[in-house]
Amino acid sequence: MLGKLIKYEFKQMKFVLLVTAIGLAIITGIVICLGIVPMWIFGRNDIITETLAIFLTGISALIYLFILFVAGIGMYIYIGVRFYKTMYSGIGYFTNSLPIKRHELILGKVIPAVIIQTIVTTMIIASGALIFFGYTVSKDGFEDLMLNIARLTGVMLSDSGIRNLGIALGLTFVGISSIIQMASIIMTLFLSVSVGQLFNSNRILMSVIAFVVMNRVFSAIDAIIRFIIEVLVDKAYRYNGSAFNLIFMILTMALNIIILVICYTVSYYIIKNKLNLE
Amino acid sequence: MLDLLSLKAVSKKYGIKQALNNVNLNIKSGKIVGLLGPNGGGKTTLIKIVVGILKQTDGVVTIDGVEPGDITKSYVAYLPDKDFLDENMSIGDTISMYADFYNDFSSKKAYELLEDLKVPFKSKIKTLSKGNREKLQLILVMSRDARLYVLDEPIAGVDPAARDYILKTIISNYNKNATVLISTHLIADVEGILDEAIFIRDGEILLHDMADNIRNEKGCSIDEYFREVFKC
Repeated sequence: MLGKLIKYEFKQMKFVLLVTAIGLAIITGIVICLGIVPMWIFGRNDIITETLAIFLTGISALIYLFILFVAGIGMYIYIGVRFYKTMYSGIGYFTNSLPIKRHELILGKVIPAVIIQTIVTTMIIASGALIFFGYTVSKDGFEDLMLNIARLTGVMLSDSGIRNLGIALGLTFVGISSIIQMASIIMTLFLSVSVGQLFNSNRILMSVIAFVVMNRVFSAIDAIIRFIIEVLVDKAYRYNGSAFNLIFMILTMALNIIILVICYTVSYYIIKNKLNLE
Repeated sequence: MLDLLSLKAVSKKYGIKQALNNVNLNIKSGKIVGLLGPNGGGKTTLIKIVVGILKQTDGVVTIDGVEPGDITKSYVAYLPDKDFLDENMSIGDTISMYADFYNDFSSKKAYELLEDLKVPFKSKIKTLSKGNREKLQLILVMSRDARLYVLDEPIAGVDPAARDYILKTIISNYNKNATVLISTHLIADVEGILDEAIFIRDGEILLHDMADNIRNEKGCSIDEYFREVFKC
C-alpha cells in the first residue's frame, strides 16, 4: 500500500515538478544569454562594453537569485499546502478512509516530498553550476576552467572541513546531511499543518504560526548546543576551523534527525487521536 | 445473527461541548438503517467515529468485532457529506485509484454506472457539475462490495431528480448481505427504503426500531413522527 500511495503522490506532483524544471531551464537560459553571452561577445576590452556586460550580469544575477529563492521556498510551500489539502480538507476524507496504516499514510507523503525537493535542489545546483562554468569560460577562457573549478571545490571543501573525509566520502556526507535536513524541514511543515488543523477556524494562519514558533524553538536549541560545544571542545580543535565545522555539521545532522523523529511522532499522534477534518 | 456494528457507551466531547452522550447501538447485517435527526444532532460525529476518522472520548465501537481502523476501512464504504475528490484528477484515474486501494472495488461496475451520467471518462473532475460530482462520489462508494456502507447526507443539496437517481443507485447496487447506514434529515425521501430508523438529537439516541414497528405503533409515517418529535 505504501508503494501505491507514493506512486499516486508522485503522479499528482509531477506537473509542478515539470513546471519548476521548465522554469529553471528558461531562467538559466535567460541568465546565460543576458549575463554571460554579452561578456563573450563584447569581451572586457573597452570601458563601455565592459560596463554594459557587468550591468547585464548584475541584473541577471539578481533575477536569478530571486528565482532560485522562489523555486526553493515555493516548493516547500507547495508541499505544505498539498499536505493540508490531501490530509485535512475535503480530500482528507478520502485519504483518511483508505485501508492503510497511519505510518504508511505519513511516509507516503514524506518520502515523495523529500524526493521531489531533492530533485528541485539538484536542478538548482545544476543550473548554478552551468552558469558558473559559462561565466568562468567567458571571463578566463577554457584554459582556466578546470583550475577555477578546483579552486572553488577546494574552498568549499576545506571551509566545511569535509576535505578531511576525502572527496567521495565528503560529498556523500554532504548529500546525506542535506537530505536529512530537507526531511526535517518537511516533517516540521507537516507537523505545523497538523497542529493548525486542531483549530476550528484560521487553520492556515495557525499552521504558519506553529511553523514559525517551532523554527524559533529549534534554532534556539541549536544555538544552545553550539554554545555548549564551543565551551567544551578542546582548544586544539577550536583553532582548527575545518575540524570544528565538521563537528558542527555532524551535530546539525544529529539535531535534524531528532527534530525529524519528534515531528513524525507528534504528527502520528495527532492523526491517530486528534484528527479534525473540515 | 451477530451484530455488524456495535456501539457501547460511546461519548464524544469537543472541548466542553458534548457531541455524543452514552450512545448504545447494535445493528445487524442486511439492513438499510436511517440515522435521522436535525442538523447538529450528532449524526456526522457518530458516522465519523464509525468510519474511523474521529476518535470517541469514551466507549467502544466495533464493526464485525473489530475496532475502527485500517482493517475495518477495507470493508466499510464511506460517503462523506463533503466533496472528497481531487478535482485535478480525471474520472478514469480516480476509478483506477479506487481499484488500487480497495480490493472490493469493481471498476466494471463503476464504468457501467457512469454510463448513465454520459460524461467522458477522460474529463477532469473539476469540469463536472456539482450534481454529477456528487453522483460520481456515490458511484465510487456503491461500486464497492463492502460489508457496511455509511452514507452521510447523500441526498442533501441535490434536486429531486438527482435524489431519485441517488436512492435508486443505492438500492440497486449495495451488497444485499451488507448494511447501509444513511444519515439524513430529509426523511420523506428515504422512508420508503428503510428497514430500521434511529432518531438522534443532542448526541443521544431517542429511538431505534424497525421502520414498520414505528409506523404501526405510532399510526403515522416515520416522516410525520419525526416532525412531531423534533418540532421546534
